[in-house]
Amino acid sequence: MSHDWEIVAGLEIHAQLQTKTKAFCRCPNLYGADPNTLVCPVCLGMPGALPVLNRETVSQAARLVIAVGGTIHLHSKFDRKNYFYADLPKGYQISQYDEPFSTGGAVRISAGGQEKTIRITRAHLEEDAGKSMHLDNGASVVDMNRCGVPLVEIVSEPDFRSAEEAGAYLTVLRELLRFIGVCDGNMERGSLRCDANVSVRPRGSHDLRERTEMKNLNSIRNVERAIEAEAERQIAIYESGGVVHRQTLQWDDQTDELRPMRVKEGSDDYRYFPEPDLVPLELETEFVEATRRAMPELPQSRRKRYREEFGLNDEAVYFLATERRLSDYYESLLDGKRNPVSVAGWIQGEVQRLLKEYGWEIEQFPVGATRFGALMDSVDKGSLNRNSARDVLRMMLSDDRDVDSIASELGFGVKQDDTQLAEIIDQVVTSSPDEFERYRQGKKNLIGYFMGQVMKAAGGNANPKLLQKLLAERLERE
Amino acid sequence: MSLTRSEVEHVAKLARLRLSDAELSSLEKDLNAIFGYFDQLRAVDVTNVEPLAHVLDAVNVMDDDVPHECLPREIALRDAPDRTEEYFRFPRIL
Repeated sequence: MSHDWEIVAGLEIHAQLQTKTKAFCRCPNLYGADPNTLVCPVCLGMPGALPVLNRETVSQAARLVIAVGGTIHLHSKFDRKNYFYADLPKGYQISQYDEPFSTGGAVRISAGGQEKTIRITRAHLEEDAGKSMHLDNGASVVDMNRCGVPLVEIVSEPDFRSAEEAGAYLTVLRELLRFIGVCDGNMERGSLRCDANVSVRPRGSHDLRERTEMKNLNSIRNVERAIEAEAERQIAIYESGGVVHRQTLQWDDQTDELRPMRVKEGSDDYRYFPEPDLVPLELETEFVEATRRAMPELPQSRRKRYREEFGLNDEAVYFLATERRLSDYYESLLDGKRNPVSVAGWIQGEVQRLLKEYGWEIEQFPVGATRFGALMDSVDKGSLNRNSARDVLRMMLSDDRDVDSIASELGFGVKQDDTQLAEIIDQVVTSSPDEFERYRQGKKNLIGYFMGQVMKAAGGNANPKLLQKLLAERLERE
Repeated sequence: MSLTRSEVEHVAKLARLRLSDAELSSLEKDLNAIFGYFDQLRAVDVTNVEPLAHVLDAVNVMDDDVPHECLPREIALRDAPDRTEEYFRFPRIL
């Protein structure tokens, strides 16, 4: 992009909440059901049907706002946004206009090697529309299952100066929504959607020029590409002396092209007015505070702690502080006493391998933190070596006896007995008279040779510390 | 306060109403009569009156997040002006 121009962009993000039911009726909020089977008079907009707000949407929206440091308004209300489209059977969308659920908040991003804060303007509750499709036979059809699914719209300030910043923001926000369990973040399925408002201005100027809105950005990559493409288009218009008009564009990810959708209706044209079918929302301070107290520690804070206090490397930090369940499992394994680096190694190595092998998510991993912790302790004490511990872990997947029982059934952990080990050492030393003689004459590093031989004879199941101690005693014995 | 003819046409367009010139003229007259009442309301001093979002005193009417039974698809689609086996069908737009 030309260096004479700079991008000024803002993002509007729609996140489908992870409730069991819709926002204003109790039809299931479920993706992928047979078309038009999750509907009722309320979400189909039948005359006389009345909406009732889902309590859980309020809780999840509150968590979201707290996670980005916004201010939850104790008083908010619902409004009707009126427009006609086939996917909106009521002829209006229930939304929040002049008294939104929250204002403020911010997200820290890192782009182009620099940290930056993106400010959030507001977040409000609203409902999703149905899903229209154009079939191969030319028919346009609509599935109302999605109609009424709860959404939170998160509007950012026009703080983005590059497409990369927009991508970074979306990445962080998506991670956060997933982490606190309010949205699955699946952009392909549309449970997280992004519209971008884009304008350009001569670099160094502070004016805000006409912006265009782009819809249908269904991946982080497409958000970046569409912003780039639209900025280029606007710059070309200005440089040839033209004027950019306010409009809505659709990004076609098949052809990488922007197509005009419609001349944007102004907010006057939506004829917003207070929704008479819903009473206002008056939240208690205590509700907000209780929600705040119940929040998990968020990824950015965990990462800092893992890096600074645990000394984990970047890969481990990212791996262990991105998915909530994995991160919580890691911390319960640490139990405030185990070595963070060694536990991280177990999760990144053996646990990942097993999850992949069995096609499990972490929450399906059958070995709980207490039993797995006991296994790690056995390795640390030296009563099991790592290879044996791997075999024990594998057996623990389907056997809920304790670590020692499984280890002894597998024949592990017995060689650590002093006498048994001493016998093996004796055999090895006796059958290597040449090496023994050279050791006695001063080639002390031959102890490594003996260690290896004994370990081999013990089938890898000797406790290395004990082995070294006993071996040294035997070799030095007069 | 009054509505111009082009504002009436704009509102008709937003409401997806196709109106004849005679209907537009008649509506322009009716709407402006209604706006006359708003002018009367505007004359009231509301300096110390809180805006009212709802006529009821009730707040926080909410339900627990527990699914109810949905309509069978046949019933949901029964009164649709146009349909396929599984979907509502609508005229192609754009």
